[in-house]
This record gives sequence, structure tokens and C-alpha cells, in this order.
Amino acid sequence: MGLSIGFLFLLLSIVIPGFIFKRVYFFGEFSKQFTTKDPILKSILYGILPGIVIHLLLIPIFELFTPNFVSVGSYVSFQKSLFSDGGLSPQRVSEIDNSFFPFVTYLFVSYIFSAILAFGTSRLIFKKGYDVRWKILRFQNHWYYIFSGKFLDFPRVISVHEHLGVAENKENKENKVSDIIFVWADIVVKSSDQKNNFYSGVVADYELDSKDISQLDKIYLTDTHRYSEVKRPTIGTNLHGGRVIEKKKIPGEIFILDAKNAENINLTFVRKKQRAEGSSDSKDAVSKSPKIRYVFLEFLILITVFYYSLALLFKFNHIKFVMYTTYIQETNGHYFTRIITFLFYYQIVALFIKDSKKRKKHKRSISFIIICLTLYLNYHWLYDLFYKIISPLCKTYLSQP
Amino acid sequence: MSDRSRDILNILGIVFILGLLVKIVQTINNETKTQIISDEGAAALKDPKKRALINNAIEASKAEYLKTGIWNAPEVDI
Repeated sequence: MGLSIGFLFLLLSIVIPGFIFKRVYFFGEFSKQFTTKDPILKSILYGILPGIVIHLLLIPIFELFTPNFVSVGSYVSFQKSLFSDGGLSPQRVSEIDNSFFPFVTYLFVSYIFSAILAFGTSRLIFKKGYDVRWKILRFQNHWYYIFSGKFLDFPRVISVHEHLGVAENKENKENKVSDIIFVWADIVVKSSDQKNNFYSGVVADYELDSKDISQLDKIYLTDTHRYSEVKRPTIGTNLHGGRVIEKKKIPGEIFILDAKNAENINLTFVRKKQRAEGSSDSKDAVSKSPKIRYVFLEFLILITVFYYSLALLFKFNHIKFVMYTTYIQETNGHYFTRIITFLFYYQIVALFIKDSKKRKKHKRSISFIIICLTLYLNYHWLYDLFYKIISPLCKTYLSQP
Repeated sequence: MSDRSRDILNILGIVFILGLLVKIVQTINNETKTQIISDEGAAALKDPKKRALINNAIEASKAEYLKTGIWNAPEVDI
């Protein structure tokens, strides 16, 4: 019984959060990296490692927000009650009974937490390009990096380019990789009668082998052409020993190619032409006179950042967030701590400040999230302003005959 | 503030937070798409004129390479 309960406990509390983490972490084109076909022991081991990390992160957070609900102590006492030798004494039953609900709640929260953590981590790594820069963070689907052109940013490829003297300066190169709109492939496929067939087209999609995800299974081409040698002793530009190479368009939307028989693949990255700065027809071009609402929003964001930076140093009674009041209480008289927090806050804010070149592009895109966050952070004084000043004024005005 | 208006504000707050979460997930998903063909590229391929431009640019790049030995990746004004 001990073994079965112990295994169930391990499975529910550590392995399953690890599984959830892995399932959410490998998203989109990388989802095949999560597989249920692995041997059970390997799956459990790979589930335990992230599971332990999740608990190490979650327990302090949980204790901070719910100090009287779940603590490391109660978690351990629940385990002790379950695994201690001896019969089920009334005291032991009551211990298990008391810690059961907090334990189940904690378990449920740990599942949600592992999903959120995996979602945030994988997307952050992908968005910031850490997977391209650092091999350890790279997803196993190397075909994605090849077909998207991101492998051109791999440090190894950059160093080879630098060595050969073909790399442009870093800023230009980064723009070039992000400007890739699709990849054109020329593929030589060996047919069953050992003849080479030559196809070319735009790679629309691909499939990996389900048994070995490092191998390609299918390539989906669009705008596909087939090249074939034709006996035509006429004068042609592509004349090869009395034979002419004929390029034929393959009719249809998508051409599915069995990539297992592909001998060679030659890729050409087609890029979007950069428009000259200041060209009027550019979609990304930002008007020289920004719209008034963006100016207002930027002003509001600036005020918020400034207001909260002062609030970290001095007590502001308007701010009623529990975290803020706790912070003020805890750091009362500790101005050095407040200054450190203030500097840390500015480091965080600095992460969101884009350089002037990128800002031009992103100026239009003050997102809905930032607007909501700004309004939420300013909620207290806006509320006070409305109820203490504007509302009485309106009432006085309306009550006048 | 009465209990009723407090309840309404709480419900609105929960709805607002849920909406915000959905929006955050949508935004993150949009910004971390893993398709290998960009939206602009897919749209350009549906337009016969732009498709012809793309084919010409690829052929021109290949021809230039055969002639000069210098590879310049095809660039298309879409």
C-alpha cells in the first residue's frame, strides 16, 4: 500500500506538473518534441526534473500569498501522515483529513503554475531569440531553423560568414533574417527507378518523421515547378548534349513531396526589399505628426512610471495595493533598501524602452495591455479624483435650479 | 460604497482580468508564430503579379550568380 500511495503521490505532485510543463513548453512547430512514446522510466525522469523546479519556485510564492493556508510544513506533514508506519490511528486520519484540502488546492495551483511558467518561458526564449543564440536552449526541430532562415543567426554560421568575409554588419544582418518572407527550395528526388527528378517551389509547410523528429517526412510546396530533360534537338538556352531542360508548372495548390527520397535540397531565402527611409508608401512609416491619442498615452505612461518611482522611495497614501503597503511597512527606515528597489525598478522599466530606430516602427503599437495596465495602476487616484472632486462638482451643478 | 456596487465592481474586475489574460495569451501567440512562410509572403503568392515578380527575382539572382559568382539573395518589393 505504501508503495502504491507513494508512487501516486510522486506522480500527482511531481511528475504530472513536469509533464504539463513539457507539453506547454514545446509549442507550434516544436510540439513533436513532447512525445508519449518514450519509455516510461525516461518519461518519469524527465517529468521529475522540471517538477522539482516548479515546486521550488511555487512553494515560496504560495507561502508568501497564503501564509495560513499551505506551507512547506503542512506539505511535509501531509506526506509524513501518508507514509508513516503503523495503522490508521484516529490522530493520523485527522491529520490527513486536515491537510487534504490544502494539498489538493496546492496541487491544482501547481498544475496551472507549471502551464503558465512553461508558456511564458518558451515564448520568451523564442521571442527574444535566445534559442538561436544559445544551443542549450534550442528546440530539437532543426528543420524549422533551416526553413525559417533563423539558422543564419546561429553563432557558428555567423562565425563562418565572418571568416569568409561575407557577413554584413550585425545590425544589417539581423534585419535581413527578419526580412525573410519565405524560402524557395530546389529539391532533387530519387524515384523508384533510380532516376533523379528535380522540383522547385515555395516551401509552405513540412512534416517531421513521427519516429525520428530529426528527419523530414513530407515537404509541402506551392507554386511548384518540375524540371525534366526532353529530347528536343532544337536551339535552346538550356541545351545539354542534344537534350533540353524543360521547366513545367505543376498545376494545383499544394504539391506534397516525399522528403524521405530527397537527395539534395537547395534553399533560397526570398527577402522583402527594404524601402528607403521616409518613403511615403511604406506601411510601417510613421507619420511625422503622431496622433494626439498616442501622445496622450505616452504622457500617461511616463507619469505612471515617474509616480511609481517616487512611491518606491516615499510613502504614498493614495496607493492601496497590499503589496505596496507591505513593502512600505517592511522597508520603513531602510532607505538603502528602497534605493536598491528603486534602481531595480528602473532596470525593469529600461527593458521596455526601445531604441530610437525601433521606436519609430512601434510607436503606433501602444498595446491594449499597456493601456489597461496604466489605467489599473492609476486607478486609485483616478477613483479619488472622480468621487471626491468631479462627482461633487457635477452634483452641485445639476442640483442648481 | 454599497455592497451591491462593490459586488458589481468585483465582477467587472474579474471579467476585466480574464479579458486581459485572454488578450495577453492572444498577443503572445501572435508574436511567437512558428510558421515558415510569413503572412506577407503568403499574401504575395496569392497575387499573380507579385508571384511573377518573385519568380523573376529568383531567376535573376540565379542568373547573376552564374554570371558573376556572387550570390545576392533575391529581394522583392511586396
